[in-house]
Parts: sequence; C-alpha cells; structure tokens
Amino acid sequence: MSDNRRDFIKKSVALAAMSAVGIGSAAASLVDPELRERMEALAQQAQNKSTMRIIMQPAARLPANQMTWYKQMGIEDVTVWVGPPNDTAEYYIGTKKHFADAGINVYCMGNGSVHNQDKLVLNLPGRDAKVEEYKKHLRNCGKAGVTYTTYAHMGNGIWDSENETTRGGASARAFHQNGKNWGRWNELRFYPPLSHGRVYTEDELWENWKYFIRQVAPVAEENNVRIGIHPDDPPIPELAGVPRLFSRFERYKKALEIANSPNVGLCLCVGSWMEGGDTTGATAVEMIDYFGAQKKIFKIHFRNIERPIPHFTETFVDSGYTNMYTIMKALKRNNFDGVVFPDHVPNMAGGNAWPFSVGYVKALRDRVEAEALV
Amino acid sequence: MNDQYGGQPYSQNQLLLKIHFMNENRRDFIKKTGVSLAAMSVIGIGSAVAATADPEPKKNVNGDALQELANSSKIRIVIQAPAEASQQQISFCKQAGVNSVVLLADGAKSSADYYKEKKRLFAGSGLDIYGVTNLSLINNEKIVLNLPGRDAEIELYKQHLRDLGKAGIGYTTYAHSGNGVWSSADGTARADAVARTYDPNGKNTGQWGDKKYTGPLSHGRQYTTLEMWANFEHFIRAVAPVAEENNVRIGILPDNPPVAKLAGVPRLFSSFEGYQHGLMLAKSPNVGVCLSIGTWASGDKLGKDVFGMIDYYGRHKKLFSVAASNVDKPVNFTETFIDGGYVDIYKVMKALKSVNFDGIVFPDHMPKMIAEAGGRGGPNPAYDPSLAWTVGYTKCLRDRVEEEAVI
Repeated sequence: MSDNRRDFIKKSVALAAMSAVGIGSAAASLVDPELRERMEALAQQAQNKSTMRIIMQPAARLPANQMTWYKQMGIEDVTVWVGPPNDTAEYYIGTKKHFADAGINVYCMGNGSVHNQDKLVLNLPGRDAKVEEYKKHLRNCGKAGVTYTTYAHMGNGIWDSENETTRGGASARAFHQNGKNWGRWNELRFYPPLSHGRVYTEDELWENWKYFIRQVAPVAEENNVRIGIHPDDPPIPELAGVPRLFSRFERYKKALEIANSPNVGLCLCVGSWMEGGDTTGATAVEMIDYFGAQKKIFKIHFRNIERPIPHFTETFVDSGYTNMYTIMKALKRNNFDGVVFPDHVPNMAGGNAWPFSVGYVKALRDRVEAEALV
Repeated sequence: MNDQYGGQPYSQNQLLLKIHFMNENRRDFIKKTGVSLAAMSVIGIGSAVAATADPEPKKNVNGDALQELANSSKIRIVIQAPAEASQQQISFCKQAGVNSVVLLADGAKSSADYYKEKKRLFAGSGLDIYGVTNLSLINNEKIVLNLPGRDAEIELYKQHLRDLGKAGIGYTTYAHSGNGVWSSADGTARADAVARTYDPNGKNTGQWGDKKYTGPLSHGRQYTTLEMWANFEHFIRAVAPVAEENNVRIGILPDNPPVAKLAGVPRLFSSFEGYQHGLMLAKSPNVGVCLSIGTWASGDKLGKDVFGMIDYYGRHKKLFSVAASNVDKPVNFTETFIDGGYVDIYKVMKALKSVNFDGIVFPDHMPKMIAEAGGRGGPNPAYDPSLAWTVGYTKCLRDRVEEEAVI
C-alpha cells in the first residue's frame, strides 16, 4: 500500500467505511473481521450472479451430457447458429426450449444464411430477398424470446492463411497479410486480387449498409431483438477489392449513426480487433470504454492473438499480446451485462482448448466481480 | 502504488455512485466534470473521495510482460502427469501454459534410468520434471505401522531418493497414512459432477492403491500415538540424510481426511501440532510440507487453518508444495471444483505470494466433468476436461497475483 493512501485512510475515512474499502492486506488487517466476512460473502454472491455470463457456442441440438458439462464449468448461457432449412419460427422456439429444459439460456441465435452475405454487403442480385430473410430471422428470434443476435457484414468473408502453431505446438488459425491467404464464408471461398471482379468503393458500401440496416433495425426494435455487429476479421480496411466497414473505430461510429437504433450495437470480438493492432484507431479497451458507456456492447468474443497484422496467429487466452484482465476490467467498469464467449481456441492435445479457456476466463470474471464488491 | 486488488480503490460508496453514474449519461458526466475518458476509466466510477487520494492511474502490464511474469513465477503451476503419459498428454501440459510437471510413478518401474529417460522425454516438449511421486511408497502401511517388511520398504524409499538424485530431480511428495484415504459414497459437485465425499458418521472406507480398509479396526488393533511417532521417526531418520545427500526435498501431505484417528490408527499429519512434531523429528532442511488445501480445509480445529499453515510454514521455508483443491465445508464434506468450495483460492494464491512461496501448486482431487465433453471440436478423449478447466482457473489466479505484485 502506498504511503499516500495509508495517510489518506488515516486522515479521512472512518473504520467502518474503510473496511468496505478493503484494499490490500495492510488495510484488511485493520478491518472488522465480521464485516469483512460479510463483504466476502457478497463477492461470492456476485460471482454466482454475475451479469457478465460466460457462454459456449454449441450446435442447435446438443446431447444432454454436453449441456451438463457446460454447467459443470459454470456456464448457463449459449449462443447457437441456425440456418435453412432450420430457419422456421418453430425451430427457433424449439431451440430455445431444448436448452431451457436443461436449465440453459439461449442468449443469442445467429443465422449463417444472413450473416456475411455478399449480396447484402455488395448489392448483388438477390439482395432484397436476403433483406427479407434477415427480417424473418429477427421475427423468429422475437417469437422465440431470443433478444439478441450477432451479425457480421463482411463482403468476402473471414480471411485465413494456413494454420500455424502456438504455445506447446498447438495448431491455431493464422493470417499473413503479405502471404497466401483467402476468404471464406460457409461453402464460399474468396481469393485475391479481386474477390468480386472489381474494386468496390467505400461510399457504395456505406450506401449498401444504410439500405440494409435502415430496413432491418425497425424490425429488430419491433421484435425486441438487439443486433451486435462483429468486426471484420481481420479488420483490414480493404481485402481483394472489397472495403471492410467494421475495421475502424471511426467506421463503427459512423455505422451506428447510420443505423440510429437503440437495438443496433456491437458484438465486439476483441481478438479480431487486436489483429488490427494500431490500425483500428482505438484499442479493444478503448472500444469497450467508448461503446460500453453508451450501452452499445451486447456481446464479447474473448480471445487473444500473438501479435497484430501483417502476420498474426491466434493463441491461448493467456498467451497473447493483450493482458485479458484489462478487457474484463473494462467490461466491469462499464457495467457490461451481456455475454463473454471464449471463441476461436487453439487445438489442444488432439482436441480443443475450451475447458482451459473457460476456466481461465471464469477466474478473470470472478476476480473482477470480487474486486467490484470487496 | 501497490494496490492489492487491481486498478481501483473501492468503497461501498462506489456501488451507489456506480448506479448513479450509470443512470446518467456518462458522456454528460465527462463533459460536466472535465474528466478525460482515459483518466476516468482508470479511476473508475470510484469514489469521489478516493479519487483525490489516488490520482495516479495504475497501469496493467501488457500481455507479453504478463507471460514473462507467468513463466518466471516462483509459484509454479504444475500438472501431476502419469509417468507413462502419451505424447499428446505431454503436449497438453505445455499448451496449458505449464512449464513443469510432477510425475506419478509406479514403484515397480522406478529407477534412475527410468527417471532420466522421462526427464529427456518431457524436456523434448519444453517441460521440466519438478518432482516424482512414487505411488508404491507413500501411504505405505508397512512403513507407517511397522509391519513385517518395513525395512525393505524403507530401503526402496532410499533408492527412490537416490534415483531422483541421479536424475537431477529435486522433489517428491510423501504421505504417511496407515490406512489410506477415507471416503464415503461418491456425491456430486456443481451440475452433478461426480465428487468424493466423506461422512464421519456414515459408511466410509479407507483406500490406497488396491488396498481397502474398513472399521472398526483396519489392522486388528488400536495403535498408540506413541508407537506411530516411533515408526515415523524410524522412517524419516533413515531417509532424511539420503534426501539431503541427493538434494531431494520431501513434502508431506496431510492425512486425508485430517482426523486424529481412523479405524484404530492415529493420523499424525492431521494437525498443526502433528506437523510441528513430525518436522521436529525429521530435523532436516529437506523435509517439509505439501499442503493440500482441500484436505486441510476439510479438517476441524487443526490448530491453524489453511492460511495459518501457509503463513507459518511459508515463512519458515518449510512449505514445498500445494495441492489446489477445495471442499464445500469441513468435517462432513464433498469435494468441489476449485471455485466452488468455501476456501477462496485467490486468497490462497495471495497468501503464497506474501510469503514468497517458491514451489509448486498442482490441481488435485477435482470432481469429474463429463469425460467425452468437447466443444466445436467434438469429443476429446485426449485429456481430462476437469484438469484443463482447473489449470486454466488456477493459472489465472496465479497470473493475477504475480501482476498485482509488480503494479
């Protein structure tokens, strides 16, 4: 404990108030043990009831033992993906019920058929049918009582290079901006130099965004569904002739201004954001402070990468260039009340790193909650 | 600045202020008060009072520096791995951010060459073998109760120590229960995960390896505490000099559960006083404590609680290792996940740091998560999800404590 704080405590704070301050062991030893015990019990309660829930992303139909496993890890919410032919209201409702029966809340439903759609982003033939399909998705969410959905607006998908290895030789997604790379979404693949035959201007992409979001936002509002927009992954201003709108702080601001709806906000994938390094105009923490203060962050993808572009490799949550505690802390100080998804874990020992990552992230969450109360 | 709890001074007022500010538009607040976004986010919504005393923002270290802190931490998170671990299991340890392992070895296979070979194998994946536990020679009833064949077992133990010395491995966990670890029927932890229980008033049995023990007398008679101490003295006086010669430290686990006597057999390492006496008899810098948090927390009135033990033996440099586990309550208990018991494991980590603990912390006695569980990658038989989850949780707390010590 620093001297100035010790002096400060002596001078200005009564013992009762100080015990609530609970900073550090030096102060703690002066604290009435009974009060301290009560504060600790409160902290424990806070962990159990945190508004920052950690989620997993299973298939829309999950065996009961997998759901039990989630709960064993301390997870009670999920995000699931659906798509045609399972895009009926009945299927959405059935999905919500399927998990609810096991005590798990479906926080988010995404629909891969109306996500990263080049028809929407680039105004290709069939765009209006996609807009209608998106509205149907929102209405289905509304009918199922699913109040949030993640959306991404990449014209030529997520870009990868060959997998590389991270800690302990674990295989992980990588991207070389100056090497061989390609875009993907569902069964589609996109290649440089021009994924769609020509260079698209940023202006026309903004027009397309406006066309889309102005139609769907009112439907989202009517159906009590919030839309969180995922950053372009990677957040590079343009790839293969197609601008990427959700790759910059300023562009996010502009996009939300255009949407002009309380129901349109962010699914901030801090991993994608960190891929951009200094190029994004705001760090992940700054993004959380800015948009979190506006209650515009609905969901967080909580993962880490070794280093930013031009060449990045995804890694374990504790093994990247960002100290993930700073992310969790930023969420808490902005009273974040959405979900935290570990997302994109490296492969581990022939399987995956979900349990490791969930354990680490839950400990961060529990610490941040305890710090907020004790 | 040397806060213990991360960037912000907290007060109860903060809760009220937080609600207040959150209901207001924060940007208005910033505008009104002229506080910059950056400054405010560091101060937090924190108390108006504390903010004046604590104007210096506390900077967290970046991710690279955090990894350095983790990798150089003297509080080593280790995994207890089977000596016959597959390459995938070995990779798993390294991928989990662990740099050292403790091997659980079958006594029948143990030799200096065996340990050396294992050391080379694990080193190939960047893992140091911090210690080896010889499962055949801990909780060994011949040694503990002076049964026929005792001295042959003691000779084997000395050989184990010499083998470790030859392989350059400096630590081994020891346990001295005469009739094993006692349990009742399995219970459940969070979401029905299968967990060990112990009910002192219910049906319970002892077990070690393939040996099972039942009451009222596991070995046909009542043993006196006096003869038990004589047996321990005989053992430890024989092996401690060998441990010293071979530069191996022996960490003694508490009896599990830590009750004074079970089925006629006193349990020596079931109180602070017992440990004091045991270490006094050993009279060796190479004999110390392997504190199982969950085991100790399952005891009643042991003279010192978990934190008292860490503080006392930590300060005396007698705390060699810590088994990270947790229980729901003392005496009649069920083991829990590391975050689900009544001991705050963060506080344990903090206590270890405060005594400059220089040893290992290994996840132990975890409830069983559903084994075939997997995420998007599908079923994953290569490793135990409970272990992966617990290592993640425990490592995070260690990483936090190391960062808090430097900011």
